[in-house]
Amino acid sequence: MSDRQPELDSKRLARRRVRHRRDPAEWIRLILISSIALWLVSVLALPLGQIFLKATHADFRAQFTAEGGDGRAVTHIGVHEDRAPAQAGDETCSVAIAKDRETVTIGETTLRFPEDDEITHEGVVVYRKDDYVRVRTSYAGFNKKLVRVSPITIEVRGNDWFVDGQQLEEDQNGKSVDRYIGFINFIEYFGTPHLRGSAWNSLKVGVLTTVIAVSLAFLYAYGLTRTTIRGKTFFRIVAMLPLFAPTMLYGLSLVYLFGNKGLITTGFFEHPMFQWMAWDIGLYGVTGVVLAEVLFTFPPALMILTVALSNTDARLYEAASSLGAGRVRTFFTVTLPGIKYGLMSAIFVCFTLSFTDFGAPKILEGKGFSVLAVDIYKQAVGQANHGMGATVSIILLAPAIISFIADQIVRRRQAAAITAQSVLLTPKKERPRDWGMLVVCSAIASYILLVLFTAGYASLVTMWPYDFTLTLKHYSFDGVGIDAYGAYANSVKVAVLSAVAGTGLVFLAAYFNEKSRRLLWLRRGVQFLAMIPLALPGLVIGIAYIFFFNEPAFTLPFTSLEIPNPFNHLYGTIWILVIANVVHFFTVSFLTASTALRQLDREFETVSESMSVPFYVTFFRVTVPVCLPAIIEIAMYLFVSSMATVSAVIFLYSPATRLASVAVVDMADFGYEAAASAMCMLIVLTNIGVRLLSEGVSHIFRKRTQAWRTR
Amino acid sequence: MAEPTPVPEQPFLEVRNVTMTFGSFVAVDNVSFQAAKGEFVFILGPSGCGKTTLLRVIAGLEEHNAGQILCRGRDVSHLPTSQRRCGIVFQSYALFPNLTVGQNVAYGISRKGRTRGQIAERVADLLHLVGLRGSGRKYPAQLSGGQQQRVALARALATDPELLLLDEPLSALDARVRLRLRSEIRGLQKRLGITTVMVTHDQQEALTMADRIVVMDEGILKQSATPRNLYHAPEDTFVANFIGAMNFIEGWTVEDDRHATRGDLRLRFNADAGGVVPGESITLAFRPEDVRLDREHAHDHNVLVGQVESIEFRGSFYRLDLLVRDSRGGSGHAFRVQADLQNAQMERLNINEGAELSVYLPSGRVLPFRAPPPDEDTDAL
Repeated sequence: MSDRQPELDSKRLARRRVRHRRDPAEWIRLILISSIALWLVSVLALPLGQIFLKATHADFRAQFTAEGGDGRAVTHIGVHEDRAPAQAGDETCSVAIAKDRETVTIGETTLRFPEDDEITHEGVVVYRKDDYVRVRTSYAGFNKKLVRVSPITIEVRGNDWFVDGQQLEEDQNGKSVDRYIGFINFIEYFGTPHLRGSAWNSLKVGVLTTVIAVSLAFLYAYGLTRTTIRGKTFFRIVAMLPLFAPTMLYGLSLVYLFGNKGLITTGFFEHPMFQWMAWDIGLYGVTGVVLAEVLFTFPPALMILTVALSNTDARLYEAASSLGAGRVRTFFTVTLPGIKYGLMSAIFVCFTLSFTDFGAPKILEGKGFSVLAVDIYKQAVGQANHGMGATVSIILLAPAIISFIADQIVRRRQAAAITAQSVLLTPKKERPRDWGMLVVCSAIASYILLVLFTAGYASLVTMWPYDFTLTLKHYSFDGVGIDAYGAYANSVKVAVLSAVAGTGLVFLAAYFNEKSRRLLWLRRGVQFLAMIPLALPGLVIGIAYIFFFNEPAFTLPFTSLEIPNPFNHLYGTIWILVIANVVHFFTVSFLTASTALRQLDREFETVSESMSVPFYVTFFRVTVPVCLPAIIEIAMYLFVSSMATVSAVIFLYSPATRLASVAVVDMADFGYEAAASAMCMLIVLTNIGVRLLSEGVSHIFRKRTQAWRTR
Repeated sequence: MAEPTPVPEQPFLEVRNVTMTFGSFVAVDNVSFQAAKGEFVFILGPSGCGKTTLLRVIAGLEEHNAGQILCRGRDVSHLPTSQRRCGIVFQSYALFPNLTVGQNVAYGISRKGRTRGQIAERVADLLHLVGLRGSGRKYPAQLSGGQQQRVALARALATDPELLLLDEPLSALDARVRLRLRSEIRGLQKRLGITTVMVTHDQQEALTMADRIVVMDEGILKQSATPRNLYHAPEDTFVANFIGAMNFIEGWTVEDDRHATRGDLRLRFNADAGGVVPGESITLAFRPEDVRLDREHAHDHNVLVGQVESIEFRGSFYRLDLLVRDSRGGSGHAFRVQADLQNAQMERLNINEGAELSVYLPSGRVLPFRAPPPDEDTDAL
């Protein structure tokens, strides 16, 4: 046998690699994948970090004023929360130094300097020496209270002022400093009853929606996969319709049906025949929001459960029935265990979506009723309280992150339930069950259609509920004070850009992640970042972007080095909306692309490499054409989602880039429900049109370029 | 029988002390071998033995930890795959499904300095070479497995590689197609004179096609030799067991440089295999087809007496299980011997179960091993 090398320490050997020289193509690959990783860090990791900073930090303003000319003249120094607009009654840590520098007033207490020229009182240290005075305070005014912070130093030398060692310009009378304030915001949040109430409401909405939506989706999916009911295609299409609408539409429809002047509430508008049916369900509150969220979360839950229910091995059912198991026993021992992972995923998705949705609760906001998502909006936009906005974001994020982690763990445990030998289950006819399921599915489909139809009808009548003459006047959006068609055009523009840029980015990210052999750590980083958006509510992305893109410069940690924010100029442009959408919908697109890419032979890349063909040639000649159906699917998903979303973009639009979905919220706010419904219908119709278009394009491509798919 | 395995004077390909690890798992452990220009070398071993990893290291698809790959005396260890000039055929063929057969073959042909017509001509030549003339316009999905395999081969040859690397190219095919393609690939390789390394777990494939076989197990190179040498003079019980069938009898004591005893049994073994010292305990090994059975003792040495326990019909021959006892009696000292018997002989001897036969073992075929026989579950496929 071969002569062995001197025994190398095996660990050292494992770490050593005979590195290959890089091809020019490999450099291109490295640069591209690094850029994608950097992009993800910049628009995802850094903005999220910014939220945590904002929630636990605050800006304080150290301000001073000189007063009076005679012997009683004093210099006032105040340290208080820096927020615009400044609010009356804000507490400040006040220090007043007499002109002769013999006495100091800290708060209400006046003290005379002792021998050693240093006064310490209630966390404030004042020191004087000749023409030099130094004030160092460990307390600052924050939210109408004095809070403890790491010391802020204000110095006076002659006419020069210094804050934290930095000299002020002549015309400045104060300076903002950033300080860590710990969990004061969180304590504040849970100490405020109406805010705490929102968390409780969100939780109730989340739990109730999840229970109802998952149960209904299960029944519906069962009907679609395990029975022989007619019209399955119709039921499938109807179930997917809510995906095309902004969630405000459900809110608006429910108002028309169950609101104060709603169809049901008034018993068909006090019609003598139906008056006895009048029923006020108390729409403005948890009930209404749950009714809307069930619609919103129904399609994704249904998709997950349909897949889970159709991926069951028929042999298990044959075995169960041959062993004499009854229907109930089979259900609990075969059906449920078979779909338990799908069921868990559906529960996680429904909870996260309904817990964090903004659109429907915004419309159904009632007296004293609010949810977390609406609170964030009120705090950050209405009151410009960014710290509290960030704090609520983190509270909103918590359950999403917990369920996200749980979902990831469950997914990892999931073993393939379907093997090559599995026999797919084909449902058999069973009269009573099929009839029952048909009734259930029809009822659910009717509810979906009723809600969509109501909004559509309301947008077409002169004045609900007084004048039901059909009219298109609401589609002219006259007198609503909003350039509605401008907003609609913006929406289409953003959706197209998001679809084009997003599809390219997502597909490239998935491609490099799946099809590179080296750069393991870079790829892992990209994959990790790509999964995060699944747990991110749009509102959190929106608020994170306000903080991140608004910041003119960042201070590097542990240094006083400031680097200008390269993304700052994007703020207020259409691009920040595009970026927010691409990030918001990144994970689902990424998973679709990864699945498609994984179906390609792993060796396409190595074979090309051995023939000295650079990877980008194979990417364009083979990978992209073969994955075209998936690429169209991703683009369609990005377009439709970008059209309908409101949560992230509502923080980020500027007057020039107002979007259709934002216009819906504003019009509803101003009381133009019919116009808002009309705008919702425009969004829905556009999305349905694009869906049909993409089906058509897919079909043509499949016919033309995918001749190879047929034998 | 055992001719010396020729060592190439100027090796075309040289693998020198290559080690490759994945984390703490050592996939290839200090492996060295050489291949001459135009040689067809097989890397043979059970699944998970590191053979594919070794091929990927040679191709430059993995960065190994230590050692060198030399091509024509030049160290290519640091070159990326694209600069190593090797054609690769994978088990899955990896044909591009959206391109026609012609486009697949033309994929790697450099467009520089060639006209469209020249490329088309080259593609036609290559398709002709692999016996697929006129299939250029079809899509891979329209071809059979064997035809797809040939397209992959034509594509790998299109770039004029110095080295052809085949990663289990036949394992996805039907048995019948596999047999036909064996001789086709071998013939093509000989005609082109291209140095080829092929990975397989199929010992029959390796024995019939190879100029040289490199046997690997658990990342370690066990033996590198010609097929004949490997078969007749395995250096190791793993190799002996993995290739062909082999009887292993433990518990022999070396008497002198060519004899060993077990109780009152005394066998003469192949002294060339050598390396055993008188007094040490060894295992003797011989192949079932080398065992000569007869009714009467026809030889005066290396003869045992065996009782037929079972007879198994294998088509062109019979395999017999015989129980051999030494004089000490008792089941602990008995051992089993497998012997193959041609059909004609079987008829002549008219053997039934329970019959006592004379078992002659030609001394040149009895190999001594210091190591105990390998576990049964690592048996050849």
